[in-house]
Amino acid sequence: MSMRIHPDRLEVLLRQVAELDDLIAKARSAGSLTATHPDAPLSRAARLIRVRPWVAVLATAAAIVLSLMPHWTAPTREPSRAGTGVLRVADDLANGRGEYETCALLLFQAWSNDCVCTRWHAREFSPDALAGQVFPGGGMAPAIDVADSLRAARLAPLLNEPILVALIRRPVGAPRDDAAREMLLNCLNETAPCEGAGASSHVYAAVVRQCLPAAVSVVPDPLMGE
Amino acid sequence: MSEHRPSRSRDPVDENGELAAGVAAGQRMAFERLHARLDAGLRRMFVRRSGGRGDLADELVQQTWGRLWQAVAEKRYDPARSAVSTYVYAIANNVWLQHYRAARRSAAAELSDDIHWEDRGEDALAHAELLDALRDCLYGPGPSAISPDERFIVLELARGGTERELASTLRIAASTVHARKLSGHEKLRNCLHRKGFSQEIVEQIRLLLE
Repeated sequence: MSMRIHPDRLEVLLRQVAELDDLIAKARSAGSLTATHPDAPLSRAARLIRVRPWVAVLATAAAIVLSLMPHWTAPTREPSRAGTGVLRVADDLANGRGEYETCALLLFQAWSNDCVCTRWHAREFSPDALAGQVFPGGGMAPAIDVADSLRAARLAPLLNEPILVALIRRPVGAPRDDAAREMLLNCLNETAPCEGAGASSHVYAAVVRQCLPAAVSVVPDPLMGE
Repeated sequence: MSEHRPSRSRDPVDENGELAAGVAAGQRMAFERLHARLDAGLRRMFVRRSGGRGDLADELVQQTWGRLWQAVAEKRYDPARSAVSTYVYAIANNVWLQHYRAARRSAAAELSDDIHWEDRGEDALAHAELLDALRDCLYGPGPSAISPDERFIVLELARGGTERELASTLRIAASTVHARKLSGHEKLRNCLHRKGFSQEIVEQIRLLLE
């Protein structure tokens, strides 16, 4: 009868997997990540926004589309789920058209040394960041690189709690409305379950929906974890 | 390695598998794209392992890419068995272990060791296959899957954290951290066993002999 792997061998393997995960995270942050043809025009076809399996932080992630700021508008077409970890976004929505542009907002829970507790945080990917990180070159499936950005923000350790990915449409050149964002985070921190992992993405999405304008549509399916 | 066929985890740097297929087919463009994605990370890894020796890291990175190219040319990489990024990592680990061992041995022993290693072209692929299986066990779903807390703890400990540090960070008792580490390890060992990776199989993979 075959034996299970010895604990010391498993520890060696885990060190290697941790190192491999770091290598992958670095790879995803490389500017040349998906630039097969850097000068190629962006495809007009529907694009994919992939949230990559960064450790397990995205394991219970949910996606929301919202009109968050007072002068922001809800996307005219909602993204649809196109498989595990993938949001399919219509081309005009992804790139913005005319006077509107699209940003991505990540909402997530992480440890806060200030309050010595777990709190909600928000990080915005601007149109420039989207162009650089989400649609680098066209022709390839774009990716939102959250891992290094969040690590760079020194928000680690991130626990295995939901990240909500929001696509926001706003007028070109509109300033960021930090007050509105702060209001949203305050609402989340007061309402959403902060402690105790294990709540499903549907539970989190339902709670988060309470803090959003009525017109906001929520896609509560997990992006990862299947 | 024929009795097990683990469900291969998706490659986070090659979601649709096109890159792996291109590399396996020897397409220069695919190879260049893979190089662009992983080269800097590999160098950082070697710099860290060598204690900051940039010149040595450069040399080892070159060896890694050379080995990959050679393996592809000899049809030794099978994208059905391992993610391409995992395979590159396994080759890099192989390169490092060879350097590490050679540095500790005489020139004669080093030569014979090199010959022996050249004959073991299967090692990197088997190693990559095992790492992918473990990643599946770590990140995969299922009723007996490792919990998020357990995953966080076993990976942070693998990165060099201590149980006391994690206890402070997570605001739980150190004994709880220890218990979750043990339960996480137990689940992972069972998961690997279900995938066909026994201790006997692991012992055949020389790259694990750190």
